[in-house]
Amino acid sequence: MGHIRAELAKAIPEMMRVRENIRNIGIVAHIHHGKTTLSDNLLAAAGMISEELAGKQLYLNFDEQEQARLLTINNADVTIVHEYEGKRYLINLIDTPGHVDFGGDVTRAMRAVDGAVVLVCAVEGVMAQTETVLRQALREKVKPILFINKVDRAIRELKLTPEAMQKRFANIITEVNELIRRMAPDEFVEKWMVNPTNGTVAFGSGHDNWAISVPYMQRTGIKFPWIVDMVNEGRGKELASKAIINDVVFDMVVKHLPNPVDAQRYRIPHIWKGPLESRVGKAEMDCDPEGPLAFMITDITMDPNAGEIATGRVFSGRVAKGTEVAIVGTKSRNRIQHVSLFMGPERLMVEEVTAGNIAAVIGLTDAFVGSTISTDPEMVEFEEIRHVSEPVVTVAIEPKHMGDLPKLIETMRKVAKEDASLRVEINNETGEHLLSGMGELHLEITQFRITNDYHVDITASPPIVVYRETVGGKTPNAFEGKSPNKHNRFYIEAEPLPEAVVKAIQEGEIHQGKSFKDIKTVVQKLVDLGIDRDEAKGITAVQDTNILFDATKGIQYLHETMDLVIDAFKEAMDRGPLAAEKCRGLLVRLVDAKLHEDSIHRGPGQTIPAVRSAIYGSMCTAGRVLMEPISKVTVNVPQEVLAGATREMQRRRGEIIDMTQVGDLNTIVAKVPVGELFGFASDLRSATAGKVLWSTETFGYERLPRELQEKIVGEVRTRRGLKPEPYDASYYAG
Amino acid sequence: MGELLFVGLGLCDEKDLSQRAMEDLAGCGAIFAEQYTSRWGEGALSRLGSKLGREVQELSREEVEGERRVLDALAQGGRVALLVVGEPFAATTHVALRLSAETHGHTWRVLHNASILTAAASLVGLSHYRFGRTVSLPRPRPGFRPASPYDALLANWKAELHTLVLLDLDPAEGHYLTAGEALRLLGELETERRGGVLPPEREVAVIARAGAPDARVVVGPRGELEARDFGPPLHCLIVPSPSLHFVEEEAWRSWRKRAAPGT
Repeated sequence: MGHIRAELAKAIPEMMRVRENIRNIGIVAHIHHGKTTLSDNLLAAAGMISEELAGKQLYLNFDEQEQARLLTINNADVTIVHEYEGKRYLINLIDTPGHVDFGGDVTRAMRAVDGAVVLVCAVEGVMAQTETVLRQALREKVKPILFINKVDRAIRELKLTPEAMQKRFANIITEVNELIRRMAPDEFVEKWMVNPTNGTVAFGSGHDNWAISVPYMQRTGIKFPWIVDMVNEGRGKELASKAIINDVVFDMVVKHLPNPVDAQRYRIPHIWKGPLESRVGKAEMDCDPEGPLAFMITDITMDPNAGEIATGRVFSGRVAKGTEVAIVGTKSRNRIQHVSLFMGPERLMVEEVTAGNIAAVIGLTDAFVGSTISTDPEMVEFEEIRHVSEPVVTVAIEPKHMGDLPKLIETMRKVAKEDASLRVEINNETGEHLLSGMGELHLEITQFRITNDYHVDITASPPIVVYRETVGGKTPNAFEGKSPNKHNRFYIEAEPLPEAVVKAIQEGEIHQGKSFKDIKTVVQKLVDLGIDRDEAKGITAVQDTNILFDATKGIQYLHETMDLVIDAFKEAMDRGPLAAEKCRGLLVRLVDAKLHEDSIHRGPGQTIPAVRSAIYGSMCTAGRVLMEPISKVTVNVPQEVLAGATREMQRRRGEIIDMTQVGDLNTIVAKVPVGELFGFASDLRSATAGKVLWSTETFGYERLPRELQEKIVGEVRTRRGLKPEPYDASYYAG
Repeated sequence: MGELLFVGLGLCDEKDLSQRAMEDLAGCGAIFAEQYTSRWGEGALSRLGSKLGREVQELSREEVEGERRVLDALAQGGRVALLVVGEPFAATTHVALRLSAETHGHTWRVLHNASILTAAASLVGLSHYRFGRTVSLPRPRPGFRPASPYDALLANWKAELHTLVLLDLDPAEGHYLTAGEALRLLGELETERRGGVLPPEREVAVIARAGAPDARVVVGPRGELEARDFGPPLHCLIVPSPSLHFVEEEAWRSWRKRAAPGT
């Protein structure tokens, strides 16, 4: 294989300039549907690794941690050369994780690619995360095609007749198309439907290394019953030589997924809001390698030797070694030290990477995931990469040796920079170093990285659930908050923000902050979502999923005090009155204010505490409520251990929302509080003698049962070093 | 029930206290002082303590505004003093404490003293009855750079009244807005609001350390004075009315020739 790689290394830098022959793709799937095994076998067949190693080695999972757990955590990218109808194509393949804890990585990968191979297990069918990853792709205008995997297992284990098998496939296809119909951009709903006859669907086994599609069957004369026989007779190897997996899959990719020139024409207006007729706008629309540089970072990884490697999509211009570029939106400029393309864990050094490709770059020390890189520091940035899920679990981390503390803090900041779904909070007052993430596993892996990659020995607290605060009702009378000097008064009401508005904020349709580029659109959006127009016009600030409305009219001096009111609002939303957790879904309304005429008596030291007291007080009188994060848990078990699995969920305050049975296989779907899921993996394994496949996805926040609220509030407050009982309304009125 | 005695400390140091104040303080149960609305001379408070043979407890802003310390001391009965630099209720904020003490059934009394509100005008030689609203100028901070001080100044100017401008101070942080900084800030506001009160050539007065032996008055064009150093705090400014009475005019002119008063 050595010579193939050497040859590739020579050919690739030339090929990346032929934009029509480039495909940027990702493979997305529900966890354990076989994505990494498929990727490895595709690579092996394309000559990147030996066939013997593939499937055993899990090439893409090159991180030690990933191999130990047999699941993919970081995106590992590869570039493949594929020949189709006499032409050579360059395929940039981004591997994405399937575990829901790493959903943020999937979202970011979708920005870099134009097409996605959606993998669905023939045995399990369309699962919760299939829907999630498909949504992430379609939201970025990434075109999907379908690969039905593990057909070998379906044949052997479900023992279906060829007809029943085809019916099963048809059902999966219908379900996938149903999702596409629901979630695809309007203009693509019909065009992007997958269909076996036109070749946008393939079937096969990533594990046994074979695949077929209808066009391929027509061309080769292979018939489905023959495949069933081959599998049943255990002649997988022979099958693999007739139904060649990389030919089938990459033919499908080349034929049905768009090249960057076509894709950027409809993707750019969606992901970049600058003027399209400008020079950079035109260059992006045309994927012009001669245009100004427009490069978006979608991933940052830490290499022990090379340091930070930033990966991203070049939408126009070229990323060239030795040039100085601007990190748009900051004042920083960095020099690009190295440019490369990925080939598995190795990097292929090149002089430059041109428009339409995915580049890996060393030297962008000031860039973050989501940064826009350009030669022009004034360039309009790419749209934020939206990832709606928020961290739900926290651990407190301490260095084993106190001398390592500065290094630990630096390391925690670094891991947070690499992984945007992590939050790091360093509290100098309490001395706590908090790491928050998407789940128990996510945090375990991050801790492993801190010890293993950065060599800081740490101890971690048991995982803690991240709660949210909101209100159950409406403030009966506007709550009066006084400034410490008693010369200023603010009157505030609180109530729940309609769930539709919360959703619009989470989806990024209503932006965070206090300045709104296009206030009319924001107001109209709020009106459409059920907010009264007069109220909507008063929108003043959005902090997380909370909105501050100003309902006052013509109060003298209020305008020069408003920034401080907003500061207080942000502070209060970051730290609720019940347990100092963040607030969620609150509508805060300023209804009146009495201000001292001399500005010195209403500075930050007076206004901020006054407004904060008014907000906290109004939340008390509206009825404070603690919310807990919920997971949707899907468990697949055979009949014999069904009772054990069900019991395991019920004793964790789980609520079963769906139960289905196919043959011997039972699927249970339940809502379970995240706080009850710690240790679930091992308990479930022992309850089912290991005969279980399960997955989780976040399911938002729900009200904590009333009888638990006092206890949990006490626990959280005690942990934070606060007195166990929260203050009441009379405290904030004082 | 107790009696709350508000004692004005005057502008400079312990020598500014009246005979009456010294006698009344001798009979107090607790003596508190605050140093955040203004500042007394270096070491003056502890010298006063030694003179009285009593401990003077300095309260922070939070403690004065929180009222607890003072109200608790009053609840023990007897007389409690709060020492305030200048004239007690000239710092608007203390009226709130007086009202609280009343609500809790205590009586109160005030011992007056000199205030910058009158001292600045007296020193410069302008008539007190021709002053408009006093304006405080806050040090700009993120999210807080009010323009209303300029607007108030403009309103006084249009009504042909003088304006006394008091400057932000934060003794706890050791930060005092200087006359130079204040004049630059007012110059910026002039450029933004264009009211015409404070072009660089407008003559203003800087009063530094009023009431102290090294007090200074400097009269000159705003643009020139903003670059000058007037020595240690506290500073304040006077922006005179567009029309001066002929005696005021004469007094104002006399400062052009002199560098410091009483010399």
